[in-house]
Amino acid sequence: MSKEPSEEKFLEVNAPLVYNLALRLVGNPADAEDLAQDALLRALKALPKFRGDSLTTTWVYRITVNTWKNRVRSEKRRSFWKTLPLNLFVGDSDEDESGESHIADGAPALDADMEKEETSQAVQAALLKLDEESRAVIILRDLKGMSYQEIAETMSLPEGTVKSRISRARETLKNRLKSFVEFGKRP
Amino acid sequence: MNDRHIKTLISDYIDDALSAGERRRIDAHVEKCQECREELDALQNVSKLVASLPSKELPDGFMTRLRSRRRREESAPASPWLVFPRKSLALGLTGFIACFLMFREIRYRLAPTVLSDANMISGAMDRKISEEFDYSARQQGYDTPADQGRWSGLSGPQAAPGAGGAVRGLEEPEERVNKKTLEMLQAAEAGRPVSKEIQKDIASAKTKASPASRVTNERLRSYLDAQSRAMGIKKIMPPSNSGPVTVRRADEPQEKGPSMWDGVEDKPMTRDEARQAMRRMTKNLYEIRQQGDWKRSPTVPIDGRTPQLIAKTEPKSGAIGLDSPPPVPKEAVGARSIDYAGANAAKKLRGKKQPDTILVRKPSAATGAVLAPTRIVARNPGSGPVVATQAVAAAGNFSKHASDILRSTQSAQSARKDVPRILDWTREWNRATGGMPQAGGAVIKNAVDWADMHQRVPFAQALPPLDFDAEMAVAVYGEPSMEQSRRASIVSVTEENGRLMIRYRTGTDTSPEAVKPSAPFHIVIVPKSDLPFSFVQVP
Repeated sequence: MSKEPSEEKFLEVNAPLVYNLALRLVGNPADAEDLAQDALLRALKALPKFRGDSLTTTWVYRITVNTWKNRVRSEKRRSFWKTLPLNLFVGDSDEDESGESHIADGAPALDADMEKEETSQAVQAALLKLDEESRAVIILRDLKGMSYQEIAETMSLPEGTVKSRISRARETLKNRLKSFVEFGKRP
Repeated sequence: MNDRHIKTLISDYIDDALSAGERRRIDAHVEKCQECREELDALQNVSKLVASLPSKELPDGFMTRLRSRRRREESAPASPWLVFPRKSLALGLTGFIACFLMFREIRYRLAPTVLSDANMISGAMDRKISEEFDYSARQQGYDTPADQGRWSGLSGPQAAPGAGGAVRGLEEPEERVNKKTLEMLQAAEAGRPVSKEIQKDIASAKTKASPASRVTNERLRSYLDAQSRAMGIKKIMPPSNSGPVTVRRADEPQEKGPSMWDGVEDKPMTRDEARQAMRRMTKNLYEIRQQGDWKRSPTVPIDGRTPQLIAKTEPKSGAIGLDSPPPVPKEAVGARSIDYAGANAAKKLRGKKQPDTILVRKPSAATGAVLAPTRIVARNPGSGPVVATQAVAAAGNFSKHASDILRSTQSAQSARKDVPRILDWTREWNRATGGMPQAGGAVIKNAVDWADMHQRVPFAQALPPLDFDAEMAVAVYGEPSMEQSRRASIVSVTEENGRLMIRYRTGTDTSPEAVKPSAPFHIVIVPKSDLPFSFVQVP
């Protein structure tokens, strides 16, 4: 990736990456779009100062995560209202730790696509229940395939902390997604 | 290598972040250890599950919206704070000083000596402060209501016309004070005059309270109003025999409990006395509120009249409420039993989404107060308006308070988990355009979020006021479409088995005059519920 792309090109290349990261961080498309646009415009403003010490993607991800963290902080202060995806059972859910996600009534997932969709929804719901930092590190590691070092750089955390957060997040997800994690079988 | 150690390394093993030696050791261990093998498999699967989350395409119009937002931000003038830092600072300072002076002025005008005391009482008042108040109140010396007309806003519950009394000056020992107080109270209860000694004290206390230093009723009322508003109480009613009754359930025996006026005399006061009285009243208010003592709380939610809660159990003699509920006919099993005022309220609030059958009771012409059972049935079961004309005719005094009574009745019903509690909406906004860019739902329980939603979805010209102590907003946004006229509507909001169920329906309007493009939404205002919520789509 070129270090000095034109602004329009920069937006076109990075928008899908930033939007997808935002979508997994916030869990619903409306807020994801808002966050992604915010992060992209910030990145654009900061682009002249980008020195190319890291990959552009790592840099853009860092800006996205920081924008999101700032929002979470201010949302916590204001108890910001959330728009929830209707097909997800999130929000004030008091779901237990059994890994059983509530799915909307009358939606039996019989064919493969629906089953896949159901799994994605359950994984996304479980991710949203993680604390913000754990959610971000596990998404950057498992979904974006970033190394520990890159995650540490993106999140401004020590590498050891990143390792332990990832380990803890996986353990939590394992418990929450019991019904989707088949024990005793090598993948 | 023990299991615990292995487990801490499994995550690193999955991420290939271990040295070759460590990897070999783990490989050897998991070959032998079933538990660690399962753990490794499970965590690998978790990692794969997260990795398998699908990548989504950018929403339609994302880039267009991004570009227009960029243009907007670029054309917006820079913050004055950055352009004119000195001017901004000066302006800020001036504003601060003006606010400070205004606050001082307001503070002085409202209650010169009282508001500062209120600041001391924040939320929980510890016992020490409470005792201090009690003691200082005794030290001040009150007299009893010899002059109710001069302080009409605050009538003590223990006030008895004709009775009088006073407690002593500062130099008297406490035992003597208590004795006098006791005598005064006994005299008040019996309706006989107090002893000469106490009468002398009354005269002495009145002399001390010179007119120049009196705090006016208006100021005291202003202070009380402010305190009440801060605590979410809309209006305070003086307890009296002719006035509204204290809130209590019909099956509950009448009893005297703590009230805001406990320990406060009805009389003209000096500033010091007023300060003590305000402290006392503030303390009482906080305590009543903290105890959640709705039965005795002097609050009036609507129309300046205390709502009468109607219980289903048989009321005791003299209590307010209905006679015992009628036996439920067999064909009505499963239907909601509700008082007639509730039915009236239901009709008043909204015609739709009432239960198929409502049992109502209406006043008998002969007795007036005694209510006779009447059964009414919905015209269109499940969705049609309730045939509630009989109930309307019988509503009488309850009509003004119908929504509150309905809410109270429903609260009682919600205690029974198997009976769904239907939250009828009082207001709604349903449009085909102007919604959110994505489908979604929201439950709004505070003013900040309400204002924020209004900014994003300007469903009304001005932000509609909401009482978030009693109400909340529920919103559903349908999937927007360029080609079709989509619709989204909330079908029902119910409390079922400890969960708030929001059922909604989406569809497409195919009529030629249907609006396109569309971004539908439906916002409804329902009674507040703190249950966890779920959005469920219905066909």
